Amino acid sequence: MTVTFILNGEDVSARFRSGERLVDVLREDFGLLSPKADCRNGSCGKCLVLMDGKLVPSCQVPAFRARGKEIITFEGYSQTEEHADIRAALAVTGLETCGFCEAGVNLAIASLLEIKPRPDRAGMLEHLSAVRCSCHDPETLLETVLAADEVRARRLYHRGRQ
Amino acid sequence: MVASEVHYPKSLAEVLELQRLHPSLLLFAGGTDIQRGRGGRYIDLPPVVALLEGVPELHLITRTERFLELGSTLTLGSLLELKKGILPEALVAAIGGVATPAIRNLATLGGNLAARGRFMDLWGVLACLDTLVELRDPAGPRWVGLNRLCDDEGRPAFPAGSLLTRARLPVEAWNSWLLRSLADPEEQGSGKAVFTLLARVEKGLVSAFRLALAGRRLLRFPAIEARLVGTRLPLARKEIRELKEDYRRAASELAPLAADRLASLVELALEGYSR
Amino acid sequence: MPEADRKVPGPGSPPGKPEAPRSAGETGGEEVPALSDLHLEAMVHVAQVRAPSPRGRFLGIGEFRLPRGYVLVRAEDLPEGASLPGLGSPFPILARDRFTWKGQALALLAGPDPNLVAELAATLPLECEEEEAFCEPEDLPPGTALAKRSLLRGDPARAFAEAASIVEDLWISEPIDRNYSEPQGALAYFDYDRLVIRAATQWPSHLRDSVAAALDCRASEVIVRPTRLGHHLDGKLWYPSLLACHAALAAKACKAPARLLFTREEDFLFGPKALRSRIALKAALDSGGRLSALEADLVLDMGAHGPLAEDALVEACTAALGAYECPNLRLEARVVATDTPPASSFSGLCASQAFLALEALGSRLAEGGGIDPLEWKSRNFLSAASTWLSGERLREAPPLGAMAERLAVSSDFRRKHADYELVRKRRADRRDGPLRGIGASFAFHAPGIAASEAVSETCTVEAVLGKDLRLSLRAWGVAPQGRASAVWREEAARILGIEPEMIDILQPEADTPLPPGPDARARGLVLTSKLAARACTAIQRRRFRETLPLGAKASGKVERSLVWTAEGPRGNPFETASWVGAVVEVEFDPFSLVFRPTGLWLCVDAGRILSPSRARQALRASAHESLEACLSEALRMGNGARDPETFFSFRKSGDLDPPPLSIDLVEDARPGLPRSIGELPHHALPGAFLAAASQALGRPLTTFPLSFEGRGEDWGDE
Repeated sequence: MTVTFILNGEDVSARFRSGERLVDVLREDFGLLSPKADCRNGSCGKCLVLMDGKLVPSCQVPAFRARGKEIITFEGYSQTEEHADIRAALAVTGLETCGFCEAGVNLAIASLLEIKPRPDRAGMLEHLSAVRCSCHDPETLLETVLAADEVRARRLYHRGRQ
Repeated sequence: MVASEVHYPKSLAEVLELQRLHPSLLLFAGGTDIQRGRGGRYIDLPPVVALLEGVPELHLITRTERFLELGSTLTLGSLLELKKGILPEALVAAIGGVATPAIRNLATLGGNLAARGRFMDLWGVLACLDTLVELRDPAGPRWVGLNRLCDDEGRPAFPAGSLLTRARLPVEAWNSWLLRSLADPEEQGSGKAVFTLLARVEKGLVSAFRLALAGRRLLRFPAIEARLVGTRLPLARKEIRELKEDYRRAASELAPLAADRLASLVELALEGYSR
Repeated sequence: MPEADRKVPGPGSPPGKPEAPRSAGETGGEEVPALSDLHLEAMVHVAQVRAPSPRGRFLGIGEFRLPRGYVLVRAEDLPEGASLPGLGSPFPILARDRFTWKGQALALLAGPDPNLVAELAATLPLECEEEEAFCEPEDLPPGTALAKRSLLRGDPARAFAEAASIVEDLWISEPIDRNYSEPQGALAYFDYDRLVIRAATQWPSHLRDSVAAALDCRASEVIVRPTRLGHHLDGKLWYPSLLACHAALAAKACKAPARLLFTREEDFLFGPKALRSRIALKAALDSGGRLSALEADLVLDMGAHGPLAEDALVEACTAALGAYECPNLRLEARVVATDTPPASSFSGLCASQAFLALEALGSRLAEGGGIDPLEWKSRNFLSAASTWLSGERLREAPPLGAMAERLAVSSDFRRKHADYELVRKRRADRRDGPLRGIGASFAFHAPGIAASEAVSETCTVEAVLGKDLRLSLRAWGVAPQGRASAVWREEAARILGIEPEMIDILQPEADTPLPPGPDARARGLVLTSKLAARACTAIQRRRFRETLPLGAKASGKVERSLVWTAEGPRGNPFETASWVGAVVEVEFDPFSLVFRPTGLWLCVDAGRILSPSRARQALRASAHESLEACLSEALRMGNGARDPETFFSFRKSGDLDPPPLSIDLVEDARPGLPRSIGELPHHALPGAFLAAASQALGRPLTTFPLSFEGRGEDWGDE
């Protein structure tokens, strides 16, 4: 079957078998390797993408469900100004990931920063639990979110003044 | 792998027509339960699938003074985004305990209630809230109490071929609640069960009481719950022990493996009122 | 309806592959790809044809037809007796006529469609004769052992006879599922006359030698190019070598690139896990409360063929005796090989299991005598005047006493422990308050422990400072990634006075000699940091006298701190050890039967700390992981195999709410090298957790992990 959707800002169409998962279509049809097809049961968070602005595990999304949706992978998100805030925060906290969960970590932070009002500490940790990887600890991840929030606030403030 | 025909209905009428044409139609909402336990490269789909997320009637939220209606394809994530106070706190807690935030952006209310293998996370609390669900099948729509959707052995009995369209919760205040996820005592650790207690306590007097353990089976005993109505808190130790034994006896007829655990949970919960 | 042909992206698809963003922390050097991201043209996929039961004879494969383009590789295609080298006992690459664990590879199937390959591999008509299997250590004939160590010092029997008090128990550790970053796998392809292997491996030289054995070729004809290792948890030591052999055999048979990549489910079912252990300890206190005797009986089950049995054993023995002063000791330790999937080392080989038992015993000894455990342990640590059980005098005291004091202050251990003891003793029933406990544990990580006198190979690091003042660093056979490479950069930047961004960590060149394996598991940091520093220092000395570019090489061998052969130990493991103390506070939730950690304190003495922030991050990540392990479900085996039904429901940690974590890094003003710290929380936390949980429940707990539900155990409610 063939399905059209928006992928990282571009209109695309993909042909695949009906039971294929979005993660495999993204990796194999479009060469977007940031989402990793690891656990294939939605728990590890290494395949996270944004679907219509919501963080979802792409291994649990049948590709047919992408029809008409806007899908953003880490490759697309990393080109944005918003991601620059997260990169700056990562440099501040020094959070290092194993590389396999990088997309998940960045998109989980990205989606958390969009939630207003900001959840409390427990709520933020809960949101960040979308990525379960033993290479980093939740506290450092939380510190990165708070740092990114600050960076973003400063950026927007300065932009507002210009 | 068989190629499946995938439909994107835009109305409830379209869904019902598809069901009529294809008796083995798979109604795909979030799909998280369909894919549970199937980690292979391809998702195993039947010949005909209908994706429900484009059906607006299944996505509505209606609130009146007396009840709250939630569409079955509302995702659990979207339910958590509702303004505080709209959903009962116990339900919010139950939703928050489901999987991960990313999965909750896919999983739906209807999918959680219509699962056939076991009672999922929201079942217990919604049953205790006396939730009604609207089911539609070729015979037409009907409202059914959630507590009726289990068989005599306490197992899920969601009618095959039915579409769950919405859930209706009475708007009632429950000022005391307890919710805990734990390993299902019937499955030695591999499944999850949710223990729910809801109570309305006014000036030390219990005016309403519900208690359920939902996992592989639903263990809920309204007759025992009724005994607590009208009692004064804190409960005496003797009363707690009696209630504990009542629950143990009632549960052992349905689920001997879970009886002791349920009894222990009841005692713990009721002791909480004693403190 | 016919299936759509395999994908052709339609109009509007982004052309080509977008640039992959750099990993956080990577500031220069080559991007190391993940194995799962590598796809070569005409690549075939490989699946293992697996043994259906734990033990038996493999008679052959019945009648079958393979589609065109699909190939079967059997043990007969290997040289006679081909096995993985260097693991201590023969480890067959493919089972020829006998198999000894369920899931062991009997043959390989390769072809272009991964789904069809998996389906064919699972449905081939195997002809096997099942035999009685030995799936538990207790099933084995008495005295069976792959490796043994024993030790006798003083007169334990007399000391026990004269003891004021005796405590003994059996501690059991079961394996859990540890998710390293990527499932196991390997990719092999021919590049002219040489075979290139790409795999995530901690032991590239072993992988090369294994593939050479499988293909009956020279080691120089095999090039190993590591892929991204990620967070390996020490689970990628020898197992990738086995899969590399399989990929290589398939590549040879198919004359095409071949990749074998486990799914996560396959990794759960068939991949290596931590070993199982049964550790019986008996200790005696004299009338002054001092440890007067210790008897230790260790049985370590490393699964079929018991890979690296000797190495695991000596690490466990060293840990089981700890850093306590004890004049009378008896140790009997053995490794057994049951008919279960072979184990791998995982975060601490099996030192963590041994520390768990010893520290839990110490806490019980103290509490039995009404003494604060921190106090008791401090009084009984080795001192500067002590002699270690090898007979060697310690040059300096282990720093544990001072660390215990720091922990006591930071965690308020003494007051809390006394409070919880009082509540525990006075509690009539559950109504008397929440169940809480606090426990302390001490451990060390001692690199350079060896089970034999075999000389280790030389490691080499090369540094080149270019005219543009960019420095390139390359270690032969090691691809330092993540934190290790970051530490290299910082140290090199400090020595040369350049920015870390000007330093590139390069992949080792393809055809160069490779350094050795498991005795240098911290080789990414400890040994190679030393060599990198030496090479940079050599350049700095010449820098303003000679023109750029300048290059220097530094070579060295792994230093053996302790060699423990069958004749006994020689050396002192504490010379290059790093030290840890941990305090864990828990509360028990009687509803969910889960222990919730409410506080965690670590004190670490690891020599010179190059980057405190990195060190803290590494410790935090390890501590979190270790806590998750404590709360995880145990992997249940049935008939020698893991239950496929449990993969999707396997509970790793429940909902671990990270407790407040305090990390105290002991400043070490002495010049010296950084020492490994990542494993320290794994060594210390379980013992502290177990002690805290025992106090909370008011009874000794002796199994790890601490999951009640799975065992349906009564937690002491009635």
